[in-house]
Amino acid sequence: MTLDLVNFAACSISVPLLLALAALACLLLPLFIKRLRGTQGLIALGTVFAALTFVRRAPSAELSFFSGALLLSPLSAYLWTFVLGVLALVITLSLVRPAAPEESEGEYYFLIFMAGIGLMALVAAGDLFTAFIALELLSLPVYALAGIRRSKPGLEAAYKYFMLGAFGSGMTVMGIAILNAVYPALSFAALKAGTPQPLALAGFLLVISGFAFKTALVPFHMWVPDAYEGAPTQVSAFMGAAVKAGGVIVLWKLFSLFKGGPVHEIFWWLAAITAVSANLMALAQTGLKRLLAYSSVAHAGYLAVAFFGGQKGFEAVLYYLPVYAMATIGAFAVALVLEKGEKGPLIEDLAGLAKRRPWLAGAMSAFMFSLAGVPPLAGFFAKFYAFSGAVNSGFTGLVVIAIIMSAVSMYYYLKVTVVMYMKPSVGDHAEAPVGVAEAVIFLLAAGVILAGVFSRPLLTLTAEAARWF
Amino acid sequence: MTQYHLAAICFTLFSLATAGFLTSGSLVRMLMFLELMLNAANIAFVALGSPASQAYALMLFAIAAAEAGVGLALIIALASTFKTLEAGNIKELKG
Repeated sequence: MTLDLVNFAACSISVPLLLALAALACLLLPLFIKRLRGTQGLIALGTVFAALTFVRRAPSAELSFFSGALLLSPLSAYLWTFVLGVLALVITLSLVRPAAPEESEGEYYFLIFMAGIGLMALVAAGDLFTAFIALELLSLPVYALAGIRRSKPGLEAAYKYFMLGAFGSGMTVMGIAILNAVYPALSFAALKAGTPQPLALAGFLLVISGFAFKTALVPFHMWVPDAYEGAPTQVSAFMGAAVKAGGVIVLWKLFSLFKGGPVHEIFWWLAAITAVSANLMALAQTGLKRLLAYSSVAHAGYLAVAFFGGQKGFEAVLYYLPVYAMATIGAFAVALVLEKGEKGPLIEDLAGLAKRRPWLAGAMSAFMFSLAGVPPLAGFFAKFYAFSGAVNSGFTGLVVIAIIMSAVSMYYYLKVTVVMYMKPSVGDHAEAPVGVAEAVIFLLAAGVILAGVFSRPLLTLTAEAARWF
Repeated sequence: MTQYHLAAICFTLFSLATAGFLTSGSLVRMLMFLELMLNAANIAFVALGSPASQAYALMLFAIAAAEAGVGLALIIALASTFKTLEAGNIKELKG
């Protein structure tokens, strides 16, 4: 092992350790030092930026830790940067408008960090059991985060998410137990080499359905609308951008174990049903957060379509995730600026926004157009790469379904823009000016535009990262 | 008892727990069925895997405990806010 690799390994491992330390600091320090109360958010944000400096451009190698449980490679470095970016955005939004009541602020940041560490372990997991533990470390804090306000909508969201999420975990772990009985080892490499057997197929299907719950593929999406609507908006943004990304990466690892066969057939149906039903259900929504929830389900379907492109498809997935995250966090941030009290804003509440807040309306339109896939925004290129990979591998039928449904989705995304620009505002709308939130929103809008117009640097990164799985 | 009997036990337990989870309306009962699902997996790890996979069962105990902890905390909060533990009666959000 050269010094380069040692340096890389030490830096990489210190990223989750740093977050864990900061999580404990946020939880415990304010209990002992009264002056630190209320500063947990700043500590948290500082830590995330400190951790970002530890993520190294990896040397082209894959290092395995803890006898293969964690695999560090350019892929994990890319995804960890993504996770830290999402954490930084969510924490900044929570600084502007606290998601948690004052007395549980420390717990809020503790839970956010624990979920972040779980996500990092999940995307770097080298075997299925590690992936399961990481999944639990990601999910358990998010269940609690959804209900952290202890209000009626929050608790309802939390319990629905908990029950279905834990049900999915139960299926996953039973699937892993079956695979464990059939195959000698659970690492992805060993599973790939294993001979297919009927019992193993049952195990794989259970594992895939468990992770499909997290990724919110139809028919495993029932919790999504309620959880997104009832949870604090910052937490909904985290669920949409980060939790889904973790599920997608593991699903890809499972998908790539097979070369066709029944498992790919199942993925075909999951992708097609998700793209069709999520978009149709989104048409009828009146709440902004519910609309974004169904949009998040639909995008999970597009990501599953991208799987069929093989290696190229995975590159597209890696490009898709940050692009989708920027647009969806941005849209949730707009919802956060507009919301009054517990309930998220309705789409009608956006009426006249172009008059009152022209820049905010412009940024929101950028997010909507990007989610809809209008060129030259990043969302268009993400969909283009995702679908073209699948076409090249001969899955034209699936892509046609996805493109038609993507055209349907244009209706509800544009509806938001139309309401902002064409409808006069009704009633009293004295939203408090929140400078930092708007700064975040404009940053994300710029990101959505730039990642589309100048997509080359990001694409080079994803091409490099995608080679490692 | 052969491995086949043990496999039969854990598959039966898992199916019963799944069916129970899907049909019961009380949150406490649902949580109990979730724990049963994890226990079925635990039996499978211990009875059907290699000796090394018994370590997985130990880790799964910890995870099951953490899950029960979060679940019970949620149930207590729900009970004091909604004054009911029937899933059908908790419907603030539409859907």
